[in-house]
Order: sequence, then C-alpha cells, then structure tokens
Amino acid sequence: MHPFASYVLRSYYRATGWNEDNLYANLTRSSNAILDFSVPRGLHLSISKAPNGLFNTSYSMNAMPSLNGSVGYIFTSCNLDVKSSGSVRLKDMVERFKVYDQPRRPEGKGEEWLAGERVDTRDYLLYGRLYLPTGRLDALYSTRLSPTLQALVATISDPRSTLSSEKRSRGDNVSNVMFSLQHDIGKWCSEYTYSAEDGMWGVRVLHNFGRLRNPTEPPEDLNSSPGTRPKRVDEEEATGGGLKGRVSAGAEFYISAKERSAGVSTGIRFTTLPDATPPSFQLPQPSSSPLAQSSRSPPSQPPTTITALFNPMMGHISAAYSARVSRDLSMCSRFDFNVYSYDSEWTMGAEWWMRRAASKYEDELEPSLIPPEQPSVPVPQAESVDIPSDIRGVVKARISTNNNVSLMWEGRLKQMLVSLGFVSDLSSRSKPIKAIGLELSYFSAG
Amino acid sequence: MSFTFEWPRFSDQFHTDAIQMLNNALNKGNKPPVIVDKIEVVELEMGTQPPELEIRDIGDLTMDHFRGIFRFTYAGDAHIVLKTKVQANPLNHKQPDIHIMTGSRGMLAARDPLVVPMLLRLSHFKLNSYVVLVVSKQKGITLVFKTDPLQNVDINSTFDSIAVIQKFIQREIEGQLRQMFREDLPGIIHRLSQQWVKAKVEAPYLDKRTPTSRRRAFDVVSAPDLAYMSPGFSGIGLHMLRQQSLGSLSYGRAHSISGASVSSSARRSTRTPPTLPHTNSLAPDPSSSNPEEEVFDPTYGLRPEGLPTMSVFSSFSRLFTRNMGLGDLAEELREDESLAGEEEQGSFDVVDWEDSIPE
Repeated sequence: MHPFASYVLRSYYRATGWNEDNLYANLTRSSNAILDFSVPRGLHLSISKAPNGLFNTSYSMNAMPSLNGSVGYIFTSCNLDVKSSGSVRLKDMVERFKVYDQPRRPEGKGEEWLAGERVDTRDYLLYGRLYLPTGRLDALYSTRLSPTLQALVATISDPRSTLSSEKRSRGDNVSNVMFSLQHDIGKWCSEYTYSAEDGMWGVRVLHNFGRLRNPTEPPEDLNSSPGTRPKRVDEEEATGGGLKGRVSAGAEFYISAKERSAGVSTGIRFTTLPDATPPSFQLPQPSSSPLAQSSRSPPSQPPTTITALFNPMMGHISAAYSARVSRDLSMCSRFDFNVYSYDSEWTMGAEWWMRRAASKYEDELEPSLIPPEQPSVPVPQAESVDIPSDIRGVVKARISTNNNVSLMWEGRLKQMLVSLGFVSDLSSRSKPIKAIGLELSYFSAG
Repeated sequence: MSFTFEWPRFSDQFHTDAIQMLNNALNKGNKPPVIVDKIEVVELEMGTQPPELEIRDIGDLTMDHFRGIFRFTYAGDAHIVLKTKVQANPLNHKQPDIHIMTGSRGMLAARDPLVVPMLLRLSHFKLNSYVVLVVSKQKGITLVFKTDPLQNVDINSTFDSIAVIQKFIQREIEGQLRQMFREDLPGIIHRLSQQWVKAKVEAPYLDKRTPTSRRRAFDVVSAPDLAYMSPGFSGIGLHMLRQQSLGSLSYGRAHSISGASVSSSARRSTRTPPTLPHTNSLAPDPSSSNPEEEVFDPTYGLRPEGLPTMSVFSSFSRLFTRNMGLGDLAEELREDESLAGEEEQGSFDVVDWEDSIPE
C-alpha cells in the first residue's frame, strides 16, 4: 500500500481510538517491521497533500522499470492532523519495532447532544486509488459501527485480470471484494472476513492474557523499587533477570466452499510492557500530567517481543525474537521450519536509528544508563526526546539463508522523505545486485 | 503389408541425449505455480517391443517424396519417470494485496508453503492410430496422427495413496499426452528429421543454423522417434542431398493437419529449387567428422540448441488453467478451453522459414 495512505490510515485509527495491535493479523508486526521491509524497486515519486483535516490527495509515479502512476484520495470523518513531510516524526512514518501496551477496551466518542438531538456522526474513512495505465482501482471503506465494532469493505478491481486465462492461472487475479468485521473488547479481539473472489470465510481471534488495564489507571512504573514491603523470614532474594510482560495467543481459520480448501494457523506472542505510556497511545490529557511527557528514561528491561506461529496443516513453524538492544538499535532473528518437508530458513535483521551528531554528543555527557532506582517520576531528559529534527534516518538490514541481503535507508532530506535500498544476491556471480530503488515522498498539510 | 523393426536396446548415448532433450523441452515455457522446481527425467526406457506399422495406403511415391497412410500400434513396455517438486498449500497463491490495503497482513501463517517432491511414472503406453507419413528429400519427415493415438497409459505418482489426487493426475496427464501426440510430436519428429536427414546446408543465410556435417543415410537402425519408418525405406531411394526452400509448415491444429501439411509439402516439392552442388551420397560415411562414432545413432549430433526455441510443450502450461485449490480435484468435466488456444503454435524452427523462400 502506498506509505502515505497507510500513514493516514494509522492516524485515523489512532484518532478514533482503535487499537490495531490487537488484531491477530498483526501478531508478528514487530518482527515483520524489522525483517520484512519492502525495498523500493526502481524510482518512485509521490506527492500528497492534505488541503484540510478531512481530505487528502496523493499522487505517485513509478519511473522505472516501467512508467506508471496512481492517483489516490482519502476522506475521513474526523479531523486528522497530518503533518508535513518536513515535520512529521520519522518514527511515525516508518514501520518499526515497537512494543504496545496492554490493550484495553476501546472507547468511542461520547455522545454529543445539541439542542436535544444527537449530532455525533459515525467515524468513517473512505479511500480510493486509481492506477494508471492499468486502470486498477483500489477502494476501502472503514467505519466504526460501535465503540468495539469496526467494519471494513475493501475492493480491488483490475480490468487486466479478465484477460488471458494463462495469467489467471498464475494467481494474478486480484480483483476481489472483501468484507471484514472486527470486534475488539480489549481482552479478546476477533475478526470475521469474507472474500468474494474465492468465496473464503475467515475468522481470526486473539486473546490477551493478564489483567486488563483500566483506562484511567496509570501504568505500572517498573522503575519503582519492588522491595518495599518487609521480607518474610525464609523468603529468598528475587532472582534477577527475566522479562516482565504480557502474553497473547490467537488463531485463524479459513475455509472456502468454492475452492474446497481450508487453512488454519495459531500463534502466541510474548511482549514486554513499555515503561511509560507511549505518547501515541494516550488519550488526550492535560500536558501538565507527568504521564504526558514524552520523555522516558532508559527502560529497565530491553523491549522484547517473542512470537511463535504454527500452521498444523502444512506443518510450518516460525519463531521470532526481536528486541531493542539499545536506544537506537533493534534486532530480530527468525527461524522458519517445516516439519514435513524439512525446509528451513533463518533470517536476521536490524534497524538502526541515526541521530544528529550534536545531540548524540550531548547524550554522552549525560549518565545515559541511570540505574533503576527511584525517581518515581522519570527525570525529564530533553536530549532523549525524539524531537523530529533529532532523528536523521533509519538503516534497515536483513540477511537470510534462503534469499538475499537487503539494505535500506529511510530518512529525510530537506522536506522530503527518502528511502533508498537495494537487494543483492551474493550467491549469483553474474548479477549480484538484484534490485535497487529509490523512493521520494513529499506531503504537506494546509 | 507391414514393416518389421529392429528394436534393440538403445545406446546409453541415445538415452542421455533423449533425456537431455526431454528435460529441455519440459522446462521451457511457464510452469504452473504449483510446480516449484524444474521437471527432470529420471528414467527413460524404450522397452523391448517395437511398434507395429502397417501400410494402408500409399499416396505419392517418387524419388524424393513419399506419402503414405499407415496404421501404427504400440503396446510395449516403455516407461518414463519424471521428478519435480510441487507446492501443496492451496492457499499459497493468494495475493495479500487487498489485506495490505486495510493495514493488516491478511493471512498470517495459513498461506505458508509446503514443498514436497513428486515422482511421476508413465508406463504401459498403448497407442493405436492412423498416421500420415510424408517423407521428403528436402523437408524431412512429417508424421501426423489422424486420430487420437492414446488408448491407455498408466500413471503412478507419489500421491497414489490419496485417491482424489491420483484420479486428478491421471486425468490431467492423459489430456496433456493426447495434446502432445497430436500437436507437439509431429514437430519434434520433423525437427529430428531435419537434423538427421539433411546434409550440408548450402545457402549462406542458413548458415547460422548449425547443420550437422555428417551425412546420414536413411537406413537407420535404431531411431526411436523415427521409429515409424523402417530400414526398408532406404530402398525407396531417398537421397537427401541439400536443404532447399523451406516453406513454413504450420502444425497448428490436429484436426485439419493431415490435409494441410501433406498438401503444403507436396506444393513445395514441386517448386524447382536452384541447383546446388551435389553432396555426397548416403552410405554411412565413416570418415566424416566424428570418426569415433561407432553406433549409427540418428540422435547423435542433435544439439540442444537445435531444439526449437519456442516451447513445443507449451500445452503443459495448461495443466492448471485455473487454480481452484482442492476444488480442481473433484471436478469431473472441465471445459476444454485450452484447445482453442492452440493458435499460437507456429513453426517450430529456429530459423524463420518465411525468410528462406527464394523469391
């Protein structure tokens, strides 16, 4: 999907209070962000504009390998503050490793009454994109039926897919309409989908173990000292180590009567809790509250996500471990194995955030590793705040036993977002660089 | 009146070359997405029994042209074993485009592939058909099946324990073989005969087609693809001397093929070609380029690059016209839209034959 459009979609979810991390389909989101980044192929340019808070337009063009482009429009019912590409937080634009907090039951907008009538409207988002010259049309309509229920209708209409049957046998027929209903109550999140092209019904369920966080309750401050109560006589010292976090488990099931096929998979995820509420997930609160501060001290435990997926029908097991090992570096490794065919693959990747040299130097003067004792209120460290001008870019790298080495840099140049990457196949002598690409994106508001 | 074949144990060299030729032919063109590895011939046995050929009618019998209708039967024990890898997850081909648009990944792990190796063994071929055979000094040999030759073939695969898949494979392979006999095989035989029968190519613009410089006589002992001819043909006096005007022979469809090709080759043989120096005669020439050649094997010297660049086995790509997952297995009747798409098969030669017609 177009990066600007997915950024707008994420902003919409955030603005309406919808937690998309609670979907089973996003179970491996963190490791996918590090390992499955897509390198641009050829040259891509895109310009987007948000004339007002409700409406966004986006134009993009791919110059190589062949010239084609697309025009897209997004309309939302609620005001989104889409910043410009010169000022947006790079961490918001880039798919990255992130730990999410314990999910809670989503709350919708309160009822609004005006002169005795309800005037609050249902939140919705409308997205359409037309690709030229192929004439393919993508459309999405997403609406919030109730605080815990969201419906989506997505469709792709590709006039090319009605042509040669030979191409269709390759599975290139992407014309489809898909209906989806997502039900999120915090502890459970289920998603029901129906895809018309292959008549496939799908159910995805995710269950979060552990205590659900009350919306008004402040998050546990793991920096506070644990041993405040008097110890019993025979109580031992708590052994150090171990990660504190939450566990989620889920499953998906698909069945298609038209194709007489089915698929199933299950997964489990352990992720550590973030130390403080990330600013992106907060409800709007007065800024004087200490929780609203976006600053945070170094976490007491490295933010870690461990996932395991299992497909019992095909016998495929996939296990991934990703962690942020330092403030700017996150690493991930994943192992895939098939118990029937013994195919295996090991992938390893890293993302490294590059900052401006000046602030980095200042950081070193500060005692960057504060021992995890009090303060109860994290000491504000202005230098560790990810102010937009601080982060210059991110470098992502991936290496795998089956495939190739991929390297990508995403950053900001002047007012434009740039991403440059290449894929190289070290085993091939004749053509070591498989693909190289550059993507430039500019968007502004107002 | 019929012919007797000598059907010895073919040489190892022949087997190697035939296997290589089949490997090249099977892997040309697009493979269906279910097949994820190249298709290789593991074993090829020509069997012990030769085919039987019975003359029904002789239409044309001249010094450099022969046309006849034969009845061809084969009930021997030849077999061939192929191996490849298939992908077994019916959900694997799903495109996640529509899910990516909604912000999620779609199927998380339900589309993971499962690649399994598969062995396929074709044996107990029973062929019975009328064939039209045209042997021409200039053009080589043309063999066309007038009726569907395949009476029976036994197909065994590694999925035999699963009855649904076994029936499916049986149906599919039989269909493919029928198409192959009617459409691809005449082209292959013609190609082989070109290499085998022609002597030196004189015309300079045809030099890029590397002709084999060895002269081949017609009385070949073991010619598996040309096995329908017998050594007795040498008596007909076909002295293949030089390659002349190569008209384009299109082997488009099997229905109208026999009449068309026969008439077209007859037409061209009447054209008077420019006289070119007489090349040597047909007796097996021991002093030719490969003196070490002991066994007189017609497929020796057949170079892989001499194969048509266009896929003669493109009908294999229609093995799965529409991937419907496991739904394919339960369908008994499938609309045969593939035969309508046979138009694309034109000439099988590397050289564009139109160019070489001297005007």
